[in-house]
Amino acid sequence: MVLSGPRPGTVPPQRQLTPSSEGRRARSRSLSGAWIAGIVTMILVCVPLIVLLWSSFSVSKTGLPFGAGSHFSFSNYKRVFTDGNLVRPIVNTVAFVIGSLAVGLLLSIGIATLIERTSLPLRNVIFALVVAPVAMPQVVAGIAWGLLLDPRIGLINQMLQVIPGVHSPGPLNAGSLASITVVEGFMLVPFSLLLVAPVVRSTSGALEEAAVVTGAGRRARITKIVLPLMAPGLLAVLVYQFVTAAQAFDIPAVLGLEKGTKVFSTAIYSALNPAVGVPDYGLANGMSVLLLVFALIPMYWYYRMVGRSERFAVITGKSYRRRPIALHGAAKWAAFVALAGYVFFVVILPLFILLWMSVQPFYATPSISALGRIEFDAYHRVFTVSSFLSTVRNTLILGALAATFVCVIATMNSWLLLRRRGFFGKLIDVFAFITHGIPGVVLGVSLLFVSLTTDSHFHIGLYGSMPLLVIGMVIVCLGLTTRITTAGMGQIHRNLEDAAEMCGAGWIARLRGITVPLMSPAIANAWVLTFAYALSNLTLTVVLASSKNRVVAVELYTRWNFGDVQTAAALGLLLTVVSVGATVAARRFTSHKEIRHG
Amino acid sequence: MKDVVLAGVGKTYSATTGGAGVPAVRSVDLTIAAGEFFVLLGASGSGKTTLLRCIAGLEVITAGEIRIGAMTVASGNKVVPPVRRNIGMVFQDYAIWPHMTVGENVEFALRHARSGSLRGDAAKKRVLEVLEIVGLEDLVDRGSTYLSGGQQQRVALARAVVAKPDVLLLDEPLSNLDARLRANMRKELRRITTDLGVTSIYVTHDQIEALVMADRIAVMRQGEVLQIGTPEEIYRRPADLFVGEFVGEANLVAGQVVSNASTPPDCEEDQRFVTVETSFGTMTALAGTGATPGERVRLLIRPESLHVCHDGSAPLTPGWNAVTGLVRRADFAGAHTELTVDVGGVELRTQAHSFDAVSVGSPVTLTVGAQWVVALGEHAATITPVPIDVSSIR
Repeated sequence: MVLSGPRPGTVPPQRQLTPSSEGRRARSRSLSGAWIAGIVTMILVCVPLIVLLWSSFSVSKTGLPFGAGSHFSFSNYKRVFTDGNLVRPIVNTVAFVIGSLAVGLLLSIGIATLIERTSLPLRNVIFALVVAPVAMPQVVAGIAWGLLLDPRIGLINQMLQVIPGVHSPGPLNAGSLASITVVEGFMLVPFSLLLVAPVVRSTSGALEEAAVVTGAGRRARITKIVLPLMAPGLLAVLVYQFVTAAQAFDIPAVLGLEKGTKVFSTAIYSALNPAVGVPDYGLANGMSVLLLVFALIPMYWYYRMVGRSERFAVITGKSYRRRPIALHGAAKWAAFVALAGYVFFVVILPLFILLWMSVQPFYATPSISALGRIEFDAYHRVFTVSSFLSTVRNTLILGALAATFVCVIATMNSWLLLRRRGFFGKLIDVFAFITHGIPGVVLGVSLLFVSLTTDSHFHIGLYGSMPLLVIGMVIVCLGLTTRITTAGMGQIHRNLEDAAEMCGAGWIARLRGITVPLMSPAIANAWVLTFAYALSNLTLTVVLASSKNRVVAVELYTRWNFGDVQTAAALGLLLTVVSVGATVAARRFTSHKEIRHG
Repeated sequence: MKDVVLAGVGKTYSATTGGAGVPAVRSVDLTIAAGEFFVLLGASGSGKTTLLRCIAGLEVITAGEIRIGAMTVASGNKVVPPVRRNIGMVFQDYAIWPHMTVGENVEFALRHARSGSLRGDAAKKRVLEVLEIVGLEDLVDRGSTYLSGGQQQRVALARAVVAKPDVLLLDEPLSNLDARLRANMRKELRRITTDLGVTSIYVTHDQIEALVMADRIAVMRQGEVLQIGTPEEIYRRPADLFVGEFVGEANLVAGQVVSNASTPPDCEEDQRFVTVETSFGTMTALAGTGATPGERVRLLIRPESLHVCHDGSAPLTPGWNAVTGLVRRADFAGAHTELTVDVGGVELRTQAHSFDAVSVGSPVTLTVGAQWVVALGEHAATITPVPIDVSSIR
């Protein structure tokens, strides 16, 4: 150390041993508000999971955790592993995850390659159309696919039945494992494409140089250069989407549950909501812990792989020169038809069938004669029946409250992470990130137990309430929102805040006067995305559903299961319009603000 | 207006992966008088910005103490946060808040001022008053993204002084301006700070800026203060070779101290002089650090202090050094001509008035007063690698 010897008025040497931690302490006193947000984050993540783990070792006569006479036992886990009914969901889940990842990622890589590396016509339009369903609620997509793939009346099956030798019912079955897997694969495509396209794009420049410099053959270039370069990026997408597929609930629930095809997440739900009998809390509990571990392990790996969470997107700011692969004649048209076919069947047809069904009193194959039966009763019902209106109101309240709370907490977390840069900030970042790996069903079950526990001890009526749903939605969205706000705050030069501090502004004044206004595009973006997500979420809302907190997604799911297809289709379309509209608005708002501050 | 006292101030950044930390500022002692315009001069990485941020309270010192007026603002266990130090600060990139107008930027500072915040009309009046001082009263409602660099700089200054701080800190405020604007703003800044009577601490790497603006300068290198003095002291009598070379152009002539010399006429009595043997004869020089008989030294001679006389007709002033040589190069530079003179195999740079006809190859006599030749020990000539200034890369 080059510190000087003792001087009059200097500090004793032992105080100089931990200089930086002392500095942190000194500047942290004024940041108590942000610390509270950090602690809230930890509570939100930890409490449900601790309650889940704790109650998984607890057994009582009523079947409820912490009920009268509950005691420590491994019996929940024993039942998970011995119950013959569980082998099927586990095998199904493995097949479902592998299959949907294969479908989703191969399609994404193929589409990304065609769009990024060739000179096909209408590339940008196709890209936008393929990505657009990212804003479509999955429960709505599930209903659309249920209508398209119904073995008797499904539009696609009816088209296929034109082929000689193919008879009704079939050949495709909406409720089969294969259908669920392929449809889930389609669901993975939009977001995968957003992640994969930059990876594909960024390799082209390197490829060009390698080709020119070494004169390597095409095969050598692909195996030695392109794939190794893309591997880390693709692996990150694979692991991320693995977690998505492992916890997928909406598609398996809408398509498979009624037909008896269960994956792990839907098996947990049906243990809680059996067709006959009482809820089996113990079984749901044990299975939830297993699913949590199943999803969190790759999440940990992913976090290690991408380092800091805000770097998760492989997108780099560098611009690479395009080096288009020339496609000629038949190859070009084949590629174009393949892309157009994907857009028609996967993007347009589901929307069309929803629109068609919402205006038909009963299922009818689209035809001239059926046009005469068009009616708008379903829409009329949605806007006039009071139970519907209260459902819509609940949904909007849920979205607005969850989005507001999560934005406040995420902004504070970003502040802790970026401005404090201490151990606690990093810890909070990890916690916010973990929320991404907690399967929705598991979180639902955890919160269910939290509410059962608090209600049995404190009688505060948390079970089945709106606040419980809001808390759940905040937890689910915390990871994504924190990343958006962290990216937004990261773009604000620290000097701008230091300047405010030098002007005498305390941390609240700095945050309110400088930081938040400057990062308002990011906050608005996070708010709208959370809002849209909360509107679309079925997993959490259906697990925590009661008559008090009914939201549109649950209403949709119930109508669908009751066979009220017309209302379900109308509601689904309206939900999609709101969700897509909100997403588009977020983008507009963001770019508008950026120009103004440019 | 308050004085600022730094005693043994040190700042060490903790190492990211164990091991010893990086010392950015080492044991700095400074006393800056109330109302003084004090410049911290140094190359990038010298720790000058870090030291300024320590005074501001944006960095927490790890050794020593800092006092502003009667208030100890930082010493070991006690740290007064920036908001309670009553300091104004101008940042290198101005840090103008882009979502506010010029007036709002200044008013924000006034609203949060420690020294009793003004509201309403009184605040508006004060904002206009300060904007008038910096010459921006017409732009009060202008969005701050529609300002030129010079205007942003003025807004930053107005914002820093609006609440009448005790101390004004300026972190290279002119470095992002173009050369002409920079020259104007130097005078402008000095005028404003003098009018306000605020104690100013100014960080720069530009030695001209330091010489022109400062009441006193502290030259820093590797976190240490090498010399504190008035611009003239720093320029004419640098403490070591590094300072000598850093603050201006210099001829450096190798030599060895032969003996102490008597003080020449018209030089101050308390100054010590030495006789130095060089390759072109002996010279009398002011003794700097490490110039004791027998030591190897470098003679530092500023180009402009060498007087050029043609054909050896120079009237030799008593106590002045005189050497003869041949003009090797003569480069016209407008106001003057830059000359390179070969004196016994050593090239000396000097200047002549550009109307003087000096032809290449002609013999000249160079004379220089003994007090303008400084003998400096060679030990300080080796410049060690500069550590990275952590605060500048954040």
